[in-house]
Amino acid sequence: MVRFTLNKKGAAVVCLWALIPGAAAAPFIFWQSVDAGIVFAAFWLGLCLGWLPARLQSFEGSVTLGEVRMSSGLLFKVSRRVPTRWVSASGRFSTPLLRLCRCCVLVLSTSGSLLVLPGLSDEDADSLLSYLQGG
Amino acid sequence: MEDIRLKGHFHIVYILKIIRYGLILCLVPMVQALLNFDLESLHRALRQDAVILIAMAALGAVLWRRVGFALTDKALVLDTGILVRRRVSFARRDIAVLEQARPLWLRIAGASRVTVYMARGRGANKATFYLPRRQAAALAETLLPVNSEAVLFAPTRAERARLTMLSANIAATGALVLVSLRQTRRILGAGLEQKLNDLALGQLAQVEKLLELVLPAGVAWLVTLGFALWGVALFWSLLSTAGFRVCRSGGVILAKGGHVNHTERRIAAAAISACDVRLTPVGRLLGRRAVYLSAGSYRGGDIPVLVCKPGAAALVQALVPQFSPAPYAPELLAGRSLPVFLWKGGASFAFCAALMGVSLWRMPRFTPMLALPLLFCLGLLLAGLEAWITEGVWQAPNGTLAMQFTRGYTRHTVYLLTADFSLTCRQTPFSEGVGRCDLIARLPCRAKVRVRQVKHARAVRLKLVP
Repeated sequence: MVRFTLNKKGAAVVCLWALIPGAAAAPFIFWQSVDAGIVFAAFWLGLCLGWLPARLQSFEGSVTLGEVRMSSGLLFKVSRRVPTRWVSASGRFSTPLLRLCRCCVLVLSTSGSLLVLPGLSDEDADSLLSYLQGG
Repeated sequence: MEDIRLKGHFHIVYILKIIRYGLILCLVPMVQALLNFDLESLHRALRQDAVILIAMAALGAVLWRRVGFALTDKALVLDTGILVRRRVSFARRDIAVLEQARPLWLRIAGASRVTVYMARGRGANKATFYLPRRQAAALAETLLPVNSEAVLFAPTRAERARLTMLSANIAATGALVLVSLRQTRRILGAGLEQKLNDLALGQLAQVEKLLELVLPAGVAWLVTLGFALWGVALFWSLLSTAGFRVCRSGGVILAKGGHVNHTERRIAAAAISACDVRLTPVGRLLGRRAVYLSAGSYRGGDIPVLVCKPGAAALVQALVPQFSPAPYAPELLAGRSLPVFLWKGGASFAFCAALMGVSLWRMPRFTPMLALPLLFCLGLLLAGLEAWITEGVWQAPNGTLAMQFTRGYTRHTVYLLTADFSLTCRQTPFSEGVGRCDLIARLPCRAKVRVRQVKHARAVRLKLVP
């Protein structure tokens, strides 16, 4: 059985990515009204620095008995089971920051859905992929 | 180099895809000139059209020479694309469904629209192309051969009427009518479309006058509209189910039929991923259930492959050998949230009831007209109540998973006949408190099957890998 969780540093990088759309939208909202801008900035910072890291840290995954099991969520919990034989392809992406943290984004494709695991450590990704490839 | 079994160009109608915008450019000035009875501008429009058509046809012919298909021992290879050439290769063993559609305009041109659905893979997992009729038949025969047509379902008389009624879809017909009205306006212009509309509405107004003898004015109009749409849907369904029959030969299921528009579907029995048994309101009245099959990326089509009585599993088993339904195991109702099932029907019922209350107080003339939506919402509320009792999930010892759920008025029982699906449990703080969750199964055809409020412990214990 292989267990994996999202790496703390990887999760921090993902939170940084999530800050980008808010930073892009903020000038337009501040332009409309300073109060609305402050509310928006507080909301977005709370989302990216409070909720998202906690949500990513709640992620737990394992590969066992021919299926990948994942669960995450703080209040609204989601658990997912995917048979390993259904995984038809995998993709691995990394940015300079993620490489610095020895992390990656792993995408597992099945013919029915797409699994995205952002901020997974390289070691976990290696062991997960070797299990999926029958090693 | 692999042996090429079959090879050819697509049918020439494929270039319509390229020149369709040119054709619209040709049609618009000509129709306008005809409507205005202006011969001079008609001549000018015809000359322009000829130049445009010749140029587009020359371009189309050059491009057409580059598109085609080849069938080798292992793969079906399609060369498509206009400027950017694309070669797509489909493994033969992964082909789940081959559909040949021949609408009237393609029959006149002697072509068939072939759609190939794959059992696994990524993205859309299907390809559509046009072939000459004989070549399409040869391709189908080579890919999914049917040697002997042992007919399992060929409805006649009353059974035919039942199939027609179960295949008629008022919602889809209503949407089609709306789209076609918009297209008519776009192509013919508002003037002519208005005349056509007046003609159609004039006929409907006659029926409405007749109904007004027994019903109030507003209700009569709603009933007329409902019956008109249902009539169109029934007529369409009557045409598409004419001569409909389903056979099985070895590992291939063949379903074909249609009067004006011919359709033939060949489904590889081994690739079938789910069997959806639907109980629609019309089905309840007739005491029949419609069976739809999905295989790979194919989602089930518009016509059911079977119409059977409740409990006629043997007929389905004769068609799909791996179908072995487990006996229905009802879900325990203790702790099951009622609002989750009733909120849609209840909210719309309350809204309609409030509207009716206001109309009783301020505008009594409109009250009968509001009674119909109220009845409609009451039905939705009752369907929600039924879903609260019947919705659930259970599994046969051989691993076949059955999921029963209600959407709108229709009750679906989906039997998952493949191991290629994923299960997701979603919990809210409320459902977590009572140990329940929403269970979602994702199928290879990208369809989601969602059963609400099942026991979490039961959902976790379900076997995913047989």
